[in-house]
Amino acid sequence: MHPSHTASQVLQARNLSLTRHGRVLLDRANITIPIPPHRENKAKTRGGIIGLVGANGSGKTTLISVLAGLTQADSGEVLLAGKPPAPRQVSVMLQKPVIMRRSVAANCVYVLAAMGVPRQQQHEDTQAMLAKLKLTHLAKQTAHTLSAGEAQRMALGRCLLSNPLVLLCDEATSNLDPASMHLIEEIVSEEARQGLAVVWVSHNLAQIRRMADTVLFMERGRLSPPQTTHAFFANPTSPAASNFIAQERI
Amino acid sequence: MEIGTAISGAFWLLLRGDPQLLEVIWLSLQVNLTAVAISTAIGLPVGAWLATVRFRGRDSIITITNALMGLPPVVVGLAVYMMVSRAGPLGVFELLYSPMAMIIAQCILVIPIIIALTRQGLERINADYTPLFVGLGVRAGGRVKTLLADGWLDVLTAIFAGLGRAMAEVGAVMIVGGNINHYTRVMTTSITLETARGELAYALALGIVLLTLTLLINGVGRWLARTSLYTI
Repeated sequence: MHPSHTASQVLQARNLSLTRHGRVLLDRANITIPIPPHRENKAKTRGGIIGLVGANGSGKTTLISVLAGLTQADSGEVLLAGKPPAPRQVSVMLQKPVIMRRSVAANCVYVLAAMGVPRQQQHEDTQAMLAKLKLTHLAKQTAHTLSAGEAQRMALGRCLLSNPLVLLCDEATSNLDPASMHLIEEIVSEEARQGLAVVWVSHNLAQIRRMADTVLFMERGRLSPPQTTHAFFANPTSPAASNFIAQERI
Repeated sequence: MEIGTAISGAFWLLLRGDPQLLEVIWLSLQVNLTAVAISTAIGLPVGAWLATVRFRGRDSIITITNALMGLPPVVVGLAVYMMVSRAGPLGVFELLYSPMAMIIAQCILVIPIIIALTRQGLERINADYTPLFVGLGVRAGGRVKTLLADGWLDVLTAIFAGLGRAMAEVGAVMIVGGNINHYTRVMTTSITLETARGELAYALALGIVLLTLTLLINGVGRWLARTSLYTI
């Protein structure tokens, strides 16, 4: 249990703007990510999956990077319960996963060790997570030899072991085979059912339909107001969003 | 002396374990390994620190360090000579023409190599690991520890490169060591002297040892790189 888990928190980004080399990457972008109270109480809570879509270069990855604390915006702020997010409250899963030069198990153990989890507990938690990710047989294998799907599963496991409040997934399954993609979708959806707030960036609209509860459309660094997934596909709020959805049918 | 005679003479010297030859080899190893150990102790933390932190002037430090990798040994020898000679600021320690002066000169040549190569190798890993470090809130000390653990191969490459430079060095150690028999005569300075004296067999024997050691160092480096599984 993360020490800072409290009831009814919100990860909120306000008026994020970022310009690099004369190009506007974020233009007063606002996003509110509700975090269910008592994430550990599975019976009472349900997290949400926010689908973040938009054309290439619309600013999705930049927004994720700012939310994760990897990039500093020129202006605006990211707050969690009124304060900048503390380490481990927000976890990010990138298209190209971070692969430490260690075994698969050691990659997971690293997270737990950084959190100060006792050694015996590190081992038990790692084994449980690897079993969940169907990676037990690869535990001792060097992580650099994993396939793309296996590596991404390991990265997901590392994110989940840090027990975050919000999980940011930036095109996390875009290079994966269907089996790996579905396994990751399944695990992330299950975590969301148990209270994890997820922002899921994808160009795969079928996947957005399957997973997301609400959808945000991003265009030239700006975010549209959130719509339910059904409403987004039935009545997109902007012509750009309509065009974007229309591409799916081509 | 014929080349054939020199070669056979060199192997004979090696086979019978010529005491003077062994003495020169032993002193060379002592000086070189000590210099590399000191350089590693200084260069490794500095390189790892440069790989992980961002501050104003960092690029300038990196540029200077990279430039220092190509320092002309004779210039270093001259600078150390002026420092340790009787009239120099370190003259009181009477280090001129001693193995210690040679070690100082070697360190000045090797430290920039270890800093630059360590920084280069670990910076790449740091860039890969940054999302993880940020997400977990890993502090600078923890980052350096992780990078040194995971980048040990890059670190080893840097140390081997430093050792290679130290082993091949002749100009600086000749100036500050003076090539004194039984005291500061190392393999490279000995080769220079014996060649000038026409003792080709002796020079060649030392050359064979030097070449073998250099090949061995590089061979071990390559073997480690090939067999490394990056596992803990």
